[in-house]
Amino acid sequence: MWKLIIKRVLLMIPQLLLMTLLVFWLAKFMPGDPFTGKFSPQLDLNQLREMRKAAGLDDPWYVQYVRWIGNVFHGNFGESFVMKKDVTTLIGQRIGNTVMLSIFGLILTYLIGIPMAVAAAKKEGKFIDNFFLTFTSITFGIPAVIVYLFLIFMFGYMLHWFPTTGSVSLSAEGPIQIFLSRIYHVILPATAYALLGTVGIFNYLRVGLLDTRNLDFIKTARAKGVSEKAIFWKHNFRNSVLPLAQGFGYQIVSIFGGAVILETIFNFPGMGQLFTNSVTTNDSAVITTLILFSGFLSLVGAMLSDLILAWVDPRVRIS
Amino acid sequence: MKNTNVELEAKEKVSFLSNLKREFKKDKAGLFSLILVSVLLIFIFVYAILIKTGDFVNVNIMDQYLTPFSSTVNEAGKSIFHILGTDDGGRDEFKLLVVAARNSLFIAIAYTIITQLIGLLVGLISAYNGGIVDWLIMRFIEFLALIPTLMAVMVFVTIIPKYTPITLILVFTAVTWFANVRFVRSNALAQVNMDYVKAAKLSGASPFRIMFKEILPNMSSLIIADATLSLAGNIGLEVGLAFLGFGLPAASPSLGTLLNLATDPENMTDRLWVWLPSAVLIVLFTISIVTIGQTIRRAADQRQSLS
Repeated sequence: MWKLIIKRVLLMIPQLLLMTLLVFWLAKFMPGDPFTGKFSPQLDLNQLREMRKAAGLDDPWYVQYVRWIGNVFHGNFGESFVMKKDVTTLIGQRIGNTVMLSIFGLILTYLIGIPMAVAAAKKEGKFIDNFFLTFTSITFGIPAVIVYLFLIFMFGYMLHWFPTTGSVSLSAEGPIQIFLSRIYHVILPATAYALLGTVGIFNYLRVGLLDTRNLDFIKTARAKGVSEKAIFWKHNFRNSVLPLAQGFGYQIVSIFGGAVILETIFNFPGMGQLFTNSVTTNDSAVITTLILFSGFLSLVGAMLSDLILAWVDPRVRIS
Repeated sequence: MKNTNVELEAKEKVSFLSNLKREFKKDKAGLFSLILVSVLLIFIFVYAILIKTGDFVNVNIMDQYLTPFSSTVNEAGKSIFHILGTDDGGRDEFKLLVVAARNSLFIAIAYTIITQLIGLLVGLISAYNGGIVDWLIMRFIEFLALIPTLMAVMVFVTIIPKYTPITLILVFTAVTWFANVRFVRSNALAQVNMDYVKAAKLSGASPFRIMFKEILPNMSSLIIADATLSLAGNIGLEVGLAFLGFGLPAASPSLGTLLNLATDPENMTDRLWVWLPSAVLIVLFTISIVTIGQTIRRAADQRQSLS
């Protein structure tokens, strides 16, 4: 196991370096630099050029790249020239919201997805199975935007059950009230997230349950007189949940990444909305940091998924 | 040898087509979706030709936000009937919807075809050659898959100063061209060690011929099913990006930009006609296409067949 972990971590390093190169290259093409925001009638062009030179923006690209990488490793991601704040501060303000939304969303996804798959597999070909199959093929097909808009329209504007924007009510006072208000704001976007997320879990688990049902070890258990309930939960279900464990690695890290479309539509101040805002205002320091962060997360996610799979499934570990 | 190959291919095609026919006859939802999508596609693409650019670009503030089924009189004194009302610029919502649907569908369809072709080429080369070629291609794709797609497209759209539907398709392709390489590869891997491939190699067929004339026909039905399903997802991608404001420029409407009007609370509750028709059209298209794709997949994989 340790050998596997070390191997995967070592494999991450070249990928991470390649990613930083790519992001750096993208950033070079983005309009604007840290001094664009400082441009004013009091400042003449020559002074601006001096400032650019002093900041090293006229150096060859590899010098700039090495300096940037050095800063990144020291946790310095530069300054947002639109919001005049450190990128780390900006992310710090938002990541809490995103984590809260994602955790609620993930819990709901599993709470909805697993029972759906179990019910469908137990009654294969019956009404409930067909109903869930149709439901998931609809949520698979419809663009996320439409689902989000529909939920906002229905539960926000028509029924007035939930707020349609923000992460906390301005009138909330005291830690308990603020906490409750935050949960209240998170319910609708988290449900939206879960509704679209169940498709994958449902399909994997349902097919897994149906395929495992006729395997030899189930027949053996039945021949030995194990009760149907125990066969289903202890043998079939346990075996079919394995493929889900693999997706878990990605989901753990996706908690921090934030969903761009979801947060933008619900006007939820998280990482995803920060990204949309930064792209609209050409805030290159924030954009590069967020892309790098997101790429780093999927890298860690891929590693975690492999490790989780190796941990739960001895066959993978040995080969 | 050559003759038998041709016969085999012909037989395979005929059997997939007849399976497809039988499956659509059996699956009423699939048949209905197929007819609906065909009729809508023909109507949208033909009617869009007849609409003049001025109709969806010119602003006439006097006719702002007319309710559906109202009519106006134009400069020539002719009365114009607005079946879906007008938007904030007094433009006819129905014509806007048709042009928007044409743009969105054109992008989604063209992009789907391009990525499918690239996926076929790279996936087949990877599976057929195996070894170091396969390893390199797969590691490269694994790396590319780490880049957040949506974020990358959004950045590209802001970097490129002037973009048209074609540049948008190219940006999509640049970021996601590898999406179905793995699918093609895994299907092709199941074929490369079969006897007919060995026979073709022995008879001296070129690798290119073996890949595209021997292996490809044997997996074409699954590829068609996958392409149809991914078309629905690609419509969603275009709509989502246009909704966020990273799609086509303002002068070319898209279903996503029309949908974006819903973000104005007043439009959301009081002026449903400016955004609801595009939402309905998107839902109709995506669900029908998924239904068609599932029917094709059942025809391609006879174990799942309903008939």
